[in-house]
Amino acid sequence: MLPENAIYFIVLAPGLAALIAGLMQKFIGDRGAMVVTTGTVGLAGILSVIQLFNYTFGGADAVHTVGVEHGAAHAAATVLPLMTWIDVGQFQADWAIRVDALSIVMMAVITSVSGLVHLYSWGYMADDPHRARFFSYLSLFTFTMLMLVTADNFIQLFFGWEGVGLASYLLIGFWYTKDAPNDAAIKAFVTNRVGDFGLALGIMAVFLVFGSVEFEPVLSAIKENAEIVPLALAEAGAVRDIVVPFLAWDIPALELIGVLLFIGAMGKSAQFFLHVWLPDAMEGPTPVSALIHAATMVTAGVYLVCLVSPIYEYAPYAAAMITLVGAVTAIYAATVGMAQNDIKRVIAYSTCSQLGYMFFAAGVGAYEAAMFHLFTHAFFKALLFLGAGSVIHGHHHEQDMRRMGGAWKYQKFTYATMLIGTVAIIGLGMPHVWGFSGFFSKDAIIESAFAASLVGVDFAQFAFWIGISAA
Amino acid sequence: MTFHGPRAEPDPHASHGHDDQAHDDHGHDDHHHGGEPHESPIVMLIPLFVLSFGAIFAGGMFYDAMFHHGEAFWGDAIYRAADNHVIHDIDKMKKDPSYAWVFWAPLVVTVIGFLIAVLTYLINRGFGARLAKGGGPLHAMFENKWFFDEIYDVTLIKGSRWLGDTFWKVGDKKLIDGFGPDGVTAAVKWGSRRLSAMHTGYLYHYAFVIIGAALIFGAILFWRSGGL
Repeated sequence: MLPENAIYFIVLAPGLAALIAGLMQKFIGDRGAMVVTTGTVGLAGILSVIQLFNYTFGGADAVHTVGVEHGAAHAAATVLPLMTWIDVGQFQADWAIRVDALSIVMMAVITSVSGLVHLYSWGYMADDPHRARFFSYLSLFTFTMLMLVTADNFIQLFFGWEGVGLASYLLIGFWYTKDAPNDAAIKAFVTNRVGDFGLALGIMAVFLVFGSVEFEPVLSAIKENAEIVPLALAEAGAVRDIVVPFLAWDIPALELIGVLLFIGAMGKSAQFFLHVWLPDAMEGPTPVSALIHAATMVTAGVYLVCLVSPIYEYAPYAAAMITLVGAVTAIYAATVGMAQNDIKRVIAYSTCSQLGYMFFAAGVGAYEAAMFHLFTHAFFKALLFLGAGSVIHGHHHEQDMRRMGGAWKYQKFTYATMLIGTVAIIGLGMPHVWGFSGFFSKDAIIESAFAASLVGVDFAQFAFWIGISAA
Repeated sequence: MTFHGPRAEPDPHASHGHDDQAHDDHGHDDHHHGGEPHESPIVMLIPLFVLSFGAIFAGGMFYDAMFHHGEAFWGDAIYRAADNHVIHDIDKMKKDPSYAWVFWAPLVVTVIGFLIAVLTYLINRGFGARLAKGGGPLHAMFENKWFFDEIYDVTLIKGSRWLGDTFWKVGDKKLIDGFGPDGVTAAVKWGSRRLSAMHTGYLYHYAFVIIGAALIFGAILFWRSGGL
């Protein structure tokens, strides 16, 4: 782990930069805003990548990856409290920074991609009259996303969740003088609210059952199957046996919570039934699509499911729902993507489909595979989007692929990077030897689905065949 | 087709126009005729370059840490129940030759897909376009995103608008406004008009009202006090 000051910087500096760029743009001008935001987020990106490497490959408390047997090492979470936020009886929520493997990986992904997108926007948005506003939104997004992934309780997570929704809305509708971006922004916001309704209900259910909204007590109670006395809804008992009344049925509390939280994840991660906003969100500037609608925000749902993995471990029906929805999304988006002509929409559907992969991996219990794919996907999908942005930029903002062509002659470098991105996403590589990033993570997911189907996890076989055919 | 296909003539009116406000005057455009594609500036290429590194190497570098030995890497952050052996089973499958096809299947499908793509977009140019023009129900379904937007439009958008209109026009305007504020003002207006109609200005009308009122109140007092 890095020194605490570095972690405070990674998390808080983008927020500060957003404030400076947003509120003082009149004084520091466009260029000042760009320098402030790009500088801080870029530095945060470098720090968090160092942190990831430290955690993985070196340092005293690193995970030694060679020869570790099952359960030999357990890296525990470190929580750096910032301040008490809500303190009402049992309803306790701190503003804190949780540092564990999940948040370290997410921090590295978010800040590094965000830093690169900031830099990229210097070129892409060079002629835009509202650059200060744009960069301040970008940094605001980065900050709220970091709030989301470093939360140590559901309330801060919800704050980050809504914060990224807001930033996404502002950035999709950045060109607010046009109808299409405005419509798309509202569509994204409203569709997300549908999912957030589920998330909010899930958090309320967590509080009523566990009497706490902090991750640590809730999740360890599930792991240990502790005896708890719910605040309402149900009789006291061991966590995994508690049933709550829902409409006319009695259902296990963990199943109810699991399904509700997953509905939130479906909205944010554009899964089947709530996916409609993602392709339209491509009305936003391309750097925004790369950062928010490919690498980071849309993966928040996957992150949430992995974060509350204990719940899904003891909620087989909720996990089966995740597998099914993920697999259906994967095949749906893959088929639709083939028939689209707008270069950004094609990539958007591909994102949708890859998110489906991550979800069915999590659904069959291979959370590692889901997070690993999230991690690699962030790089090649951001690459594809920025490459597409470069093509669009080179073609004077023409997005219909049918009207492009021959671009490799003019844009050799972009061509090469797009090729790399494509090869990475289709997962080229030789089994047992080596391949591009997508090869390792996507095959890990497909193998997980197959392994799960051998032991009879619901829908795993379905997911496996879909995974193969949509590959 | 983006990179290798023949380039269609740029259509100045078909600008998808997200941001002509942003890019109306491109520095380079003055020299070309406004239609020539050009490579992007260096600040846009650096991120592409860095991300390419990630796209190529991130998977191989972190495979062991994040997936193969994932349990140690994720620690307490990810929890698997005692009976969840998914990751473990993959290791076992790798050693078992009868499952080898599982590991090769994705590659085979990928290569087939890639060859089809090469065939469609590079060798047999225009095949994709012909396929799209030929149509067929499958292509129509894919192109229209399984008709999700349309279904949502009919059920949710139109449905909620109907619901909103009903509540607004019937529930709110007719019932609540009708009996509430509007009803009260209408009643007051009606009553005051009747009252003002009585103000004729003739002295004998006022005298009549006064005497009448005195009689009525006198009668009430008389009756209240118990009569004769």
